[in-house]
Formats: sequence, C-alpha cells, structure tokens
Amino acid sequence: MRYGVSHVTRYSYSQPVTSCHNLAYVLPRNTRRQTCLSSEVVIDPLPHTSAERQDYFGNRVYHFSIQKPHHSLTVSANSVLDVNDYTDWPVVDLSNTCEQARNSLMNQLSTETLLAREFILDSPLVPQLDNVKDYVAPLFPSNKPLLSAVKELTEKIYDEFTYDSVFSDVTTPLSDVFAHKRGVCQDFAHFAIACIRAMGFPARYISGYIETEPPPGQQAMVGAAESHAWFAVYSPGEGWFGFDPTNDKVAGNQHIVTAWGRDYSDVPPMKGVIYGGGSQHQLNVSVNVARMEIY
Amino acid sequence: MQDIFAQYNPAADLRDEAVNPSPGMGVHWHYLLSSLSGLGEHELAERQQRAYRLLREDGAKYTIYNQAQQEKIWPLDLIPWLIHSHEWSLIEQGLQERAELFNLILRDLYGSRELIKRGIVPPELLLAHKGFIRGCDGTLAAGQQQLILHSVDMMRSHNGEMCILADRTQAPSGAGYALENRSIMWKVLPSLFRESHVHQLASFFQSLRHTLISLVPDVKSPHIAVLTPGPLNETYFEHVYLANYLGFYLVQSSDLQVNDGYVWIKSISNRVKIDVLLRRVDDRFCDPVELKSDSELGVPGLMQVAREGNIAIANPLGSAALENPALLAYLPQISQHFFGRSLKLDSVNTWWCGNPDHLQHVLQQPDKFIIKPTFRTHQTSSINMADCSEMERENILSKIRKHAEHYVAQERLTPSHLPVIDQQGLTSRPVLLRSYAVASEASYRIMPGGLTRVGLKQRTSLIANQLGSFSKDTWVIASEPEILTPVIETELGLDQIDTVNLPSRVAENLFWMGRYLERADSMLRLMRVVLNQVTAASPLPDQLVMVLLKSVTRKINISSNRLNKNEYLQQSFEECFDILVNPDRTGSVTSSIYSMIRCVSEVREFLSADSQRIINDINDQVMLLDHSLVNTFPYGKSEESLNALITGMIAISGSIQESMTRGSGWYFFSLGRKIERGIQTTTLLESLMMTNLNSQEHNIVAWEVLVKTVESLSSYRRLYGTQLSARNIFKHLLLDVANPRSVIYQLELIQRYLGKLPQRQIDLVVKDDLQCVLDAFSLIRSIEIENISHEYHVTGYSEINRIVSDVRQLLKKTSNHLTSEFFARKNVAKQLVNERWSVD
Repeated sequence: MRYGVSHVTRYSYSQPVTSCHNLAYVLPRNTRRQTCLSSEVVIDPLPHTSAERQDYFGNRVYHFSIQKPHHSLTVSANSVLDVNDYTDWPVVDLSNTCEQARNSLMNQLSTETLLAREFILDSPLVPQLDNVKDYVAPLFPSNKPLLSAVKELTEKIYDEFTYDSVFSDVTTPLSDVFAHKRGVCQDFAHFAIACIRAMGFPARYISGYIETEPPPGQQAMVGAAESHAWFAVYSPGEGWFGFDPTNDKVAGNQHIVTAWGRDYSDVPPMKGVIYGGGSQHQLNVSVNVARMEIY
Repeated sequence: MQDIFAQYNPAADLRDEAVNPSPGMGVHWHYLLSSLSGLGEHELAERQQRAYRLLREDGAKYTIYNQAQQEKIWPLDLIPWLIHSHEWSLIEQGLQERAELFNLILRDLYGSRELIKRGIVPPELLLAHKGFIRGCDGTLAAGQQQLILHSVDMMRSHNGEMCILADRTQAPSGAGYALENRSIMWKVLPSLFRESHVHQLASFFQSLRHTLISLVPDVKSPHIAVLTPGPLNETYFEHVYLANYLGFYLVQSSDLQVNDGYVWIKSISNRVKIDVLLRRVDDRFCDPVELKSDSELGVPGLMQVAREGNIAIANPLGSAALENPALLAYLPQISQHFFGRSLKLDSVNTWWCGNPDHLQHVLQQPDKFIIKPTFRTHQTSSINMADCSEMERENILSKIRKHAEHYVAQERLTPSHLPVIDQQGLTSRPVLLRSYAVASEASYRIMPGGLTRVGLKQRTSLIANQLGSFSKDTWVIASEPEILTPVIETELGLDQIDTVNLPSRVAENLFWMGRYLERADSMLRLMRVVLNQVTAASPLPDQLVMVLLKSVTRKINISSNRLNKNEYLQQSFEECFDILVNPDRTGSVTSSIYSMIRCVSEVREFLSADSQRIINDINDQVMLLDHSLVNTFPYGKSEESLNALITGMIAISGSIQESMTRGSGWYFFSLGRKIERGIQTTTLLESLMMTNLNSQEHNIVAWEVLVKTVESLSSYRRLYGTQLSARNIFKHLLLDVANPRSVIYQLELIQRYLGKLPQRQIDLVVKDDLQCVLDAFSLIRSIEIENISHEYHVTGYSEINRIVSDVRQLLKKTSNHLTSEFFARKNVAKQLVNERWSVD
C-alpha cells in the first residue's frame, strides 16, 4: 500500500519566542515492511541550523534551531511510503511458547536476542507497576504460545479500557491509567508494554500513524487524523510483532511507523527548549494519511 | 620534649602505614615522624592551625549537602601518606592500564557494543544503568582516546596490595584540592618538604592543559572553559582554582549559549566561542533539550554541538556509564577481551545483583557486604549491611529484589590506617587514595600521589567528603631528588583570559559587589554617628532624636504620637538593631554584606589573596554581629563592633583598588560603587537637610551628623571654617569636584568609567546610561548656590530637594541601563510543551 502522510505541528505563542532548540521525530523510518520513498521537513520560520541524524534505535531525528524572535512555529513533515502487510506473520498459535521464549531470552546469545533484552527493562514512562503481574499472568501460562498471549492481552485492553481523550496527558502516571482503565492510544501502548515486560518479555513502543479513510465497508479506526501509537513484542528467533490495543488489531499495512523506542519519551514527535514565548501558547497538530494510487 | 609519636599505638590488628611500613618506607616514615615530633606538640598544633588559616584565606571550602548546606573549610591533616616511588611506579602502570581499559569500554559502549553482542557483559548491566545515555550513541569524536580523565579510589588492603574500590569518570573531582593541599604543605612544612624528595604535581596539570588544547587540533589558540554548576556546588572552590591555575574561563551554564551550531560565552562585548569544555556538571544535567529536561545547569543544544564536533567536552557526555560499579564484577572478562590478559591492579570483589547467581550469593549472607546502587546521586549512598537495623536491612533487600540490576554488593575491606593529628595527640584512621589520570600521548599520565581521604572512624572503608571526612597530602618519595623541568607560571597563567570579553555574569557580580559594599559602608557610618548622638550624655530634644533615628530607619514609621519618648527610643533602637543584624531585611547591614559576599563568591578569580582574606574577616564579623551587639546595644561596645566592620569595608575597597587589574571588571566594580555612593549621599541629604527643625541649633546637629557620616567634617572645616551652614554643606556635598564624597565627584567618575566600557571609545552615539549622567550634571550645575539662604525659611529647600531627588532617580536609571545593556539576564529556558498526548 502506498501512502502520503502529512503531519503539521503548529505552536502559537502569546509573546515572541526569542530562540529555540528543538528536535522532531516526524520522518518515518524504514522497517522490514515499510519503505520511505520520499520525505521532507519544512520549518517556518526558516531554522538557522538543522540536521537529520539516526538515533540509537535507528530512528530518524531532525534537529533544528531558530535564533530570531517568532510568534509561531510550524513544522510540516510530508512523506510518501510503501507499507506491506506481514508476509511472514506466524500462525500465532504455533509461535514460541512463553517458556521457550523465556529460556531463549536467558540463554540465547544471538545478537538480536541480546539486544532485545533492553526492552524488558523499565523505561522512563513505563516503570514496574504493582499488581500488574496478577492482572496479566493468567494470560501467559508457560505452555501457551507467546504471540497468542500477547494477542489476548491486546483484546483484553481493548475490552476493558475506555478510550478517553481528556483523562490523561503526558504526565499522567501509568499507574493511574491502570487504576482507572482509561486513556488514549499512548497510554494503552504503555500499559501493554508494562504487562509484557512484567512477564519478562521485550516490548517496545511504536509511534506512527494509522490510515484515515477506512476502506469501503470497514469502520473508521480510532486514532485517525492523529499521530498514533501501539507496541511490538519480541519473540526470540521469530522477530518483532506489532499489536494495536486501541483498535484490537495486529499492526498491519494500515499502520505506518515513524519511530520506535522504549516508550514515548524516546520518540516524542516534538521536543525542545524555547526562550520567551509568554505564558500562553496554542498547539495545533494535524495529520493526514492518504492512500495513493501506484501507477 | 614530649615525643607525641612514642605514644602512638594503633590497634595491633590494623595495618598502619607508619607503624608497619611497606618495604623501603621505614626510613622515610621515621624521618617524617621524627621531624614532626621534633617540632614539639605545641608547634605542631601551631602549624596545623596555620594550615587552616591558609586554606581559609585561599577560600578552600567544601559544601556538605545537608539541610543547612554546611560550608566547611577544606580539612587537611599535616601528616601525609608516604608512598615509595618504586611501589608508585607499579601502581602507576596499573592505573594507566585501567584508564586505557575504561577508554576502550567507553568507545565500545557508544560504538559497536561488542561487549554485549559477544556476550561478555550482560546487556542489562550496561543498558539499565542511568549513566548510559542513548543520545550519545555514535557521538564520540574520532580518535583513540575519548576518556580524557579517569580517577579511581583505592586503598591498601590487608595483604599489602593496592585494591581499587571505584572509578570516577564523568567529572572527577579532587585534583584541585590535591594541588591546594600540596601548596599548603609546602608553606607549612617547607624544610621537611624540601628534604623529602617528593614528586611534583605540576607536570600532571601541564599534561591536562596540553591534552585539552590538543582536542581541537584545527583551532589555533582554543578557548577552554571550566563549566561549573556554580557557587553552591560542593567543590566550587576547586572549579575556580583549576580555572585560574590552568588559565581557562570559568563559566556557568547561564554564561553559555548555543548559536549557529557553536557554544558561545555571553560576554559584555564580543562573543567568545568556546572550543573545549572541562565540565564539572554531571552528564544528565548538561542539556535540557535532550537530557534531564528540568535541568538548570545545562546548556540547551550542547549535545548536538558536541555531536557535530563543534565542541570537545572532557569527559565526553555519556561517561557516567563507566561509573557503574557492576563493571567491576566483569572486569577480568572485559580485560581478557580487550587485552588478552588480566589487570595489574585488583578491584574489590564485586557481585552484580542483576546476575541471578551473584544475587543468590548476596542474599545468602547479606551482612557480609557493602551494598551500592549502580548509579550514584546525592541521594544514594553505600550501605554497610552489618551496620543496618533490621528494618533498614529489610528495606534494602526488598529494593534489591525489585530492581536487582541496580545494585551491587562488595566485599567489606579494612583499609590501611595512618596517624592523624587531633586534640588528644595522634589517632589512627583509615585512608583511601583518589588517583588522577589524564589522557596523554596515546596513554595516560598519572598524577604522582593524589588526594588521600581519611575516614571518620576506625576500620571503615566508607569514606566520603559528604560524610565529613578530611584529607591528607600524598607524597611519592623518590630516592633521588626529582629533576624538575621548571613550570613557568606565566605559561599556566591568565594570559588567555581576555579582560575585555568579560562574561556578563561576572561583570554583573562585580558591579553589585561595588554597590553592596558602598551600601553597607554608608549605613554603618550613618548608624555610628547617629547612635553616638542619640546615646550621648546630654539628652537631645525629641524632635531631633526622631529625625536622626528616622534617617537610619528610613521608611519605617514608628507612630510616635502614641508613644512616650522612652518607648519611642526603645522601639527605634530595636529597629536600628534589626537594620544592623537582620539578614532577611533588604538594606540591612548584614543583608548588604551577605549580598556582597555572594557576589564575591561568583567572581573569586578576580580577587587577590589579601582581598579574599579581608572578605573572610568581614564574614566572620557579620556572623558574630548579632551576638556581640545583643546585650549592650546601642551602648557599650556597640561602636567598636561597627568600627571593626567599617575598617573591614575600608580594607576591602583599598585592597581591590590596589590589586585589581584595570580591565572591564574593575570599571564595573567602580561604577557600582560610585553609583551607590551617589545614591546614598543624595538620600542622606534628603533625610538630614530637608527637614525643618525648630531651632537652627538643632538643624546644625542634624547637619553635623550628615557631614560626619560622609567623612567630610575636617575637609569642610578647612574650606569653610567651623560654622556649619546649609549653603556650604550643599556646596561641599553636591558641587565640590575636589571632594571625593560629593555627588558631582561621583558623576564625573561615572562618566569617565562609562567611557572605558567596551565599544564605548568607538561608539559616537550617546548611550542611555551616559545620557542619564549628563542630565544629572546639568541638574546639579543648575543649582544657584549663592541664592540658598543660610536659614531655613518658608519655601524650605524645595528647589534643591527636587534636584537632589531627581539626581538620585537618574543614578538608579543609569544602573538599570547598564543592567539591560551588559548583564546576563538569565534567560529562562522552557520546555516546548507537549502536555496533551494528542490534539485535535
């Protein structure tokens, strides 16, 4: 599937910002199933310095700074990508069992598995939660295939948690999300990650987009016209697999990946420091994902 | 003479360096101890006292982070740790090897991570550590040596071998204190020092300087700065000391800004590009854009500048990952991997709780161990499990069970002991040695000796300055005197610092130092004269007393009508007392002096040793002021206390006048003084000249107070005779260009100094600050002095009153203009907000 994605972030300040140093995770990375054909960032006002680099996780991060006073800042990212559906999606029921996966993680010395162990560790926004083990352990008996268990976890979160765009913000602790079972896609992804890590498996956070227009006959997905977030789990020897607890879906060819990390804090769409700007500001984000014909 | 060492009798089961010396050291210890002993108990105590005084004069302090932020004089014990140069050369090789190994670990960690990929070190050990900064991945500069500085803490264990307890790799502290210790020892025990053939420290610092310069080979004469968290930091003294010694800028993060991809000092004139940072700010605080976002110690954008190779930072960001003590549990394997051999120097036996086998070992007998968190902060500490209460013990064990990967257990060792001088004579205390390595010519140069730190109680190996331990010099003793290449002081001197490009923060602190100095001085003098009058034997009329007291208490209105005279006096005295001693009251003597001292602490590098000593004395007096006045104020010895402080003020002005280079710094200091003096003189004129008292006789008493306060009585009398007249006083204090206390005199100097500021000679436009001064001149000159009546009459001195008040406003405006033009207004960096997950 070919998509055109446009992601526009606009800040308006009540007082001029005299200068800023920012970075943006808005350029989609390539993945096993996704190829970024073209992409660009346009910043208004024109930045004094800008540079793109690859970060620790292989994501594309765009640094820029502006040194003259400005009342607003617009960051527009436009990309064209091809996204393929899984061709190698394992029959989940035949994947590693939880026990096999755990043994491999502990004993296997393949580079991929060793490096994946980083994603079992706590991360800044996904600490160990009390009681989460009790909540999730019944889904992960040792003889059950790991991916089936994760799929059920995805369903469970979809069923039990309420999508609520006013309940949480970036500062809401994950324990509150768990306690009230409410939140948005970022919260659900973080919570799923916490569950999987509590069981001793690697899970990472994925930031991206979801296709806006539903194909005929299918219902629109939540997260449309916004940046979206989901997670992936690692099964030793089999690789990483994405699941979307907000939509109870396997992340397929309607999920467009921008970046991944341990959690949101590794890959926020925008981050930085401003001088000035007054006490009031407005933030507008618009995302457009359009299916493109391939000629 | 009593031989104090004859009575030194450390516990037999402890290894004491002086009593059971290492091979070849017996004769050296004997020489040292008998020389010290030969001084006699009294003289030794005297020398110890002298060392304390010298350290204090140098401003050698250390802050202990407890609730009171206690600032202590750096504690130095006069008995050094002696180490034979033969033994030292082995230690040195071991330290070089270790620094090389840690350099390789650093490069691997932020490069290909072979240690993880090859299964040599478990990934969690490195990746769960908070010192591992993912943003530093792939950012190390090219070149073999990335780790510029490496320090270790070591001790001599029971078998006589040195054993390493910990590595310090991000901003190792203490090298400057070691240098200070050495300079004090040299002053206090010169002959002993000369005859002992002690290896010198200077060449280590030369190497440090050369290495930092060589980090930017393309820059011809690079600008190097020491980045300090500021005067509140525990080791700020050392930051100032090193910056001065090495001839580097001393900067705080607010002095720096990132522009056009480079780091610049915000200075009073041209921007100065910084090429190399010797940082004393911990990694995670260095850049709020990418690291700890609420850090106020960081420079926004610094990481990206470093990444692009536009600044070299020593040690590079991310080095904190090497301070992980869990590495010690895997060092043999790591050394095998990189070197194919084991290390020369042992490390303390360490178990990493993230390894299930190690964890089990630790949990079996926890009391045998010292538990350390793998990531060190000011909130964490090492814990001797044997000393724990049952509750503490459980608390720690449950933390370990929850986050095993964040803890290590280490064998409890007893370090060797050394004699320490105390009130009772000598006691035996455990010692640790912190060594210093700096990258140099493809390997590392080791400081000969290092900083010896002394434990507070016997046997403990938990020795930290934060626990209040003190220090010793470390003497590496050569059999032959060392052939020295003389270090030419100017080579390490201040030649690099361009006094024109003063950092704005420094200029601002010098300016305010001048203002506070003058403010405190003026208040002290006024207080002295007024109290003298009011408490004089012959009582003054009430109205006069009120006017005089009001000139001191100023805005404070004590409603006099409801009080009888005694009550009024009592309350006024309480007010006066408060104005002297209350540190929280703006404008009080104590508050002005403390403010001045705070400014001084920011600009210490501009003050001579004498000035520093005077400031210390003033500080002492102010701290005791409350105490020395409280019982007798305003009578008795009050005047003496005020006199002592006034003497201090004169001394500090004189000392600065004599010793400070006439660069921009001095002009800012002097502008501060002159502006404040102008403001004070005009204020006094208003409060003491503009009130009509019932009789001319009383007026004259008030006038006399004024003239005495500004120290002009004798010059007045020389010029105008003994009779005080309003006209002559105005003439003398406003218009006399020869009177160094007159307002016009201040204006002339302010005008001259403004012209000396950067860019002013070439700038033809009259700047706002100068315009204010020119306006003040014309106001003062418009006074028609001969028309002023000698007698106060109906219109009062309303015209002159207005002028004096306008002049004061203009002086304040001058100060404001200087502030906005030159001084670093602290830009408050805010996070770009992302408070909502998603926004419509």
